[in-house]
Amino acid sequence: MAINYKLSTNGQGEFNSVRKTITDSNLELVIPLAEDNADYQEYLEWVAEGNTPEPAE
Amino acid sequence: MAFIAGGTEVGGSSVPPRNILINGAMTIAQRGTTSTSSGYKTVDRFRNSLSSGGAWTQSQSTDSPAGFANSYKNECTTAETDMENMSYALVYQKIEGQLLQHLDFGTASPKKITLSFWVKSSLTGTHVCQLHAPYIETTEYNSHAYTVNVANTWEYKTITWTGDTGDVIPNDNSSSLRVYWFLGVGNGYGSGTLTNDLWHTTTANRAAGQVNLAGTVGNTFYLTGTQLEIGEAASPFEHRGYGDELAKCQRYYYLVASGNGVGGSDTVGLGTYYVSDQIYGAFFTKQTMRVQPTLEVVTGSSYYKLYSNGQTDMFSGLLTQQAGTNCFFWYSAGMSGTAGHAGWIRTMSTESKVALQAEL
Repeated sequence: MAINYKLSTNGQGEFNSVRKTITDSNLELVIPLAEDNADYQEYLEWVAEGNTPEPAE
Repeated sequence: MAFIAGGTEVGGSSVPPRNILINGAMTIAQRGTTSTSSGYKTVDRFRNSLSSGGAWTQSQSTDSPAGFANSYKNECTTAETDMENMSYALVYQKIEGQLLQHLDFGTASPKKITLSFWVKSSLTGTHVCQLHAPYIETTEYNSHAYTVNVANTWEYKTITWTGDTGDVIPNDNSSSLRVYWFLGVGNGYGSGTLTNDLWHTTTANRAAGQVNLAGTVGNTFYLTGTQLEIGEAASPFEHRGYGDELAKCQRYYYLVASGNGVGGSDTVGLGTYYVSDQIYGAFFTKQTMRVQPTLEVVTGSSYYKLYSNGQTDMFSGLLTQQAGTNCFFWYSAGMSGTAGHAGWIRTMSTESKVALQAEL
């Protein structure tokens, strides 16, 4: 099970969220850039471990 | 109607619910009823957590003691007979600090609190419950052992803790108190000595003596009727109405639509073409969500359908336009319509699912 993060934008192309996907799953989490959001905290920990998200499309 | 006894209001709408825990009877399961993954996957507000603690299937079960319809079941599917040093398997609920202000922790006279619950475990012997208060720097944990006397039999347990005088609980929406039920731990959490009702910071004392339910495939741990309340004695379980309990859960998770709705489909909501290739819509949340929520969406080709201007437009998923705690704006691109036209959106696959998550 591999976790992947990808930067995401609103409809106007402005960076506003991070998309989290998991291998072999079609569940997607679109995480806001909110420091008190637990999913965003988990993302920041993932980055702190040296990982890099994919750029936005 | 409120009334006054000894200068203290003891009735009426301003009194906090007796049971501090939410979904204590495990009746609400918006995410689903069974999962082989760890985390928040089945019954609302409760989750399991594993670190090299075997593999488990969690589910909302109908196996329950008299007076209850459901329980939270965790069944070991891959054993971990030799739990490594910092391994653990546990289930827990996190509580917001602003729901705990009446405990008076961090003062000279903190309230005692009592946890009561029904448990059914495959193993007899010592099990451990723990309060984890991450906001307290000097005394973070308070563990308490309880004994399961008969295997695979529902037993009622109560545990009373002394309140902490160290630090005031932050009056905000952060995770201030966690109630753990351990299923198994490695030496890092269990090689010390457990003293009941002692606030401490010694990791090795946190779950000393805990039996290892992860040691054998098929071991089960059922939990229901969980209640955390002020006082030195447990009162009867506070049964809340389904709607009331669901509303409390929806502050942390709101299932908007799923493929299992009426007629094999479900209504996602309304939307409008802002431009010809983008549609925008809003979810008005049932409760003010704890934080700006995460959009949880199951994506797939033609999983969602928009009906507009006598035509339909299939699409695969949704993205976030603006994540508000009371109103969430979403959008989807790659559409083909006419700017200004409105429509409604349905799920089109049994796998389709849209939800907002703001869990602790």
